[in-house]
Amino acid sequence: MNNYEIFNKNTQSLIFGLQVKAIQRMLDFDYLIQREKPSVTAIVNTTRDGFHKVFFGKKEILIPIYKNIKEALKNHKKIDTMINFSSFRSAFETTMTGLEEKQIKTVIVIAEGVPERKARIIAQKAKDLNKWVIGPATVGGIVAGQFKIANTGGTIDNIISSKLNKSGSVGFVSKSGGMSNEMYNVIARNTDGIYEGIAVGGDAYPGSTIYEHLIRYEKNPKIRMIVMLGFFS
Amino acid sequence: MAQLGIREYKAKKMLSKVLKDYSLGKISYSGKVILVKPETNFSKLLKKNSWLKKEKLVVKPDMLFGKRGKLGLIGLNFNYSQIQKWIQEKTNKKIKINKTEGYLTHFIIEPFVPHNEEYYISIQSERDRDIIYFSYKGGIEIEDNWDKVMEIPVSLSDRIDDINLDKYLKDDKNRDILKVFIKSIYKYFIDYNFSFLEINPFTFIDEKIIPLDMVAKVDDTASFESTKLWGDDIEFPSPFGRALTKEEEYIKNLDENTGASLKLTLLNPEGKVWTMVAGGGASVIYADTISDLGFGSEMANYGEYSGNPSTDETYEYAKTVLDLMTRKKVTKGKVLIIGGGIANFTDVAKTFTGIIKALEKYKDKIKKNNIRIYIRRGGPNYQEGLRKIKAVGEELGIPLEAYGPETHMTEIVKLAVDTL
Repeated sequence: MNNYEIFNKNTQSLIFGLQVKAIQRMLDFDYLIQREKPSVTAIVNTTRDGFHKVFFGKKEILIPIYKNIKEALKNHKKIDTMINFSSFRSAFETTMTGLEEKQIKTVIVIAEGVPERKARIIAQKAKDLNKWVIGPATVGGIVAGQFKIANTGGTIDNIISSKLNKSGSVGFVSKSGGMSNEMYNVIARNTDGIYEGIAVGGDAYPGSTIYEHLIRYEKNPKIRMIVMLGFFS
Repeated sequence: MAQLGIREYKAKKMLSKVLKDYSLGKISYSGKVILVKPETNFSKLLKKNSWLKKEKLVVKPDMLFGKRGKLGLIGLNFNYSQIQKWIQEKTNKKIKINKTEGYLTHFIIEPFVPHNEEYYISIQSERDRDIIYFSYKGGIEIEDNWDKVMEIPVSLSDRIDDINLDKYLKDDKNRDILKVFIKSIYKYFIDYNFSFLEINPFTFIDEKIIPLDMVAKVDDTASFESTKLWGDDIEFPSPFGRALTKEEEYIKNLDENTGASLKLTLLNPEGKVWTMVAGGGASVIYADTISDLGFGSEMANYGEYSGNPSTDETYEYAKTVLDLMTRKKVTKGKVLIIGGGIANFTDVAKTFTGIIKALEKYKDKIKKNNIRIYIRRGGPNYQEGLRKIKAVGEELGIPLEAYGPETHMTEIVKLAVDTL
């Protein structure tokens, strides 16, 4: 993977929090784009370990659940992405734990309500370690036809009608998750679709800024048009 | 999540509790400060705070606006009965601050402190550091003297106790105490999760520091970790002149008691263009579009609902909007734009159930007031949502058009305002 890419068709992720709907939607996407292995490799659920049943296509498979991040990563060395559904109360601690793990390169922080100072510390940590944080307060993002973060893009029929299951040429970035999904649709109606879309989230101090993703998109030869919805602050 | 202003009274009171500890006993602040509210009883106040009769006093409004000196809103060197008279005078008449009209309701009373030196300190945050601004020339002319303000950067990983402040301070008798004070205020800023803090000016009388004026904003997302420090009595007052209407208050209450987001602000209750938009991003775009099409002055409300609200919550929100819209009939009627993008995970059919319930309840008023409804939405179960709401529109005989993602998000604004 080039340094301007964060996710691709081989990205394996750890979901922090037993988010049943989000996990099933990720696997539905994986199956649609004919990924060999699901993009969700393990789950952390602090209260109960075991296995979680999901559908991968028509087949029911089991995804292992661990009680903490370290254990999950120890058993699955290829995971480099953590999608963090911790509430705003613990999102800081769990995100920092994820970032401190050597194999984790990217953490997506879903929670809304992370205190500003904590968000700044997360951003600084990511910068010091040369890692990526997306969020907090985000729905996530998507690399069309390769990797979908959690609930981004909604249901399969929207994924298909917005061409999110195929690689297009447009790089999109915005603060708003809701408007990102709308824009994927507008872009799909007017171009060959997005290559990648990221919602950096609505917070004052996001882990990665709109500017940082624009710079990354500019380096990517597959992205021929960049679209941003919002404003620089 | 927001940076919210708190009263000067509160910022000073909280500081008085911790300054001695932060300064390792070297500096103290008495915290002799009183908040007068509409319900305050002046004789009870005196019983609890006998110093009010013994010292000369200062009084000013404590309502999150500044430049009170220039507005003639400071009472200086008063005794207690002069204070009461001043407050009574000021509360009885409507005043105009900048362009906003309103009533003064909350005041702060403190000892009057004659002094010579006026210092300035404020702390603001940037992405990777905080900056302490300090000046020997504080006071009301601070903006004109901004070139004399020193900037002391403190990065996220710095420890304030390790920073050498000597190079920023004059080598005089006050240097040591200023060093201790600056570091203490910085610790106060961090521990209490301020997003902005300004003391302009402050002065020293012996080893006592007197903050003469204080402006503070806290990060309200930090309340779950800071509420013990802030105390239960912390208030986040609305800006001056902006008392919420009872409908706005109602929605605000709903919002505070749910994980979803429900926001409503009335702009022009007589307006002909009303909205109920899903999501903060979309709501801004709809408001922009209404203005772009020349109907900015007719825009009655601004707000949004999002975060997967329950059927009941959506019902209450829709009911409030419909109620406000149907109070006064106008020729040509009014339009209601129920808009939104393509949701990621909000169940559209579920939220539409709440809206449908409200339409059923208000069907007669909708017809009587010549209300036309334009809907556009996408996301999980949108087909079912649109189908149901169209069917209800027909059943109830109300003019209602509903569109999905194949229609551009703001197309319905044009369709709506073209009928006005």
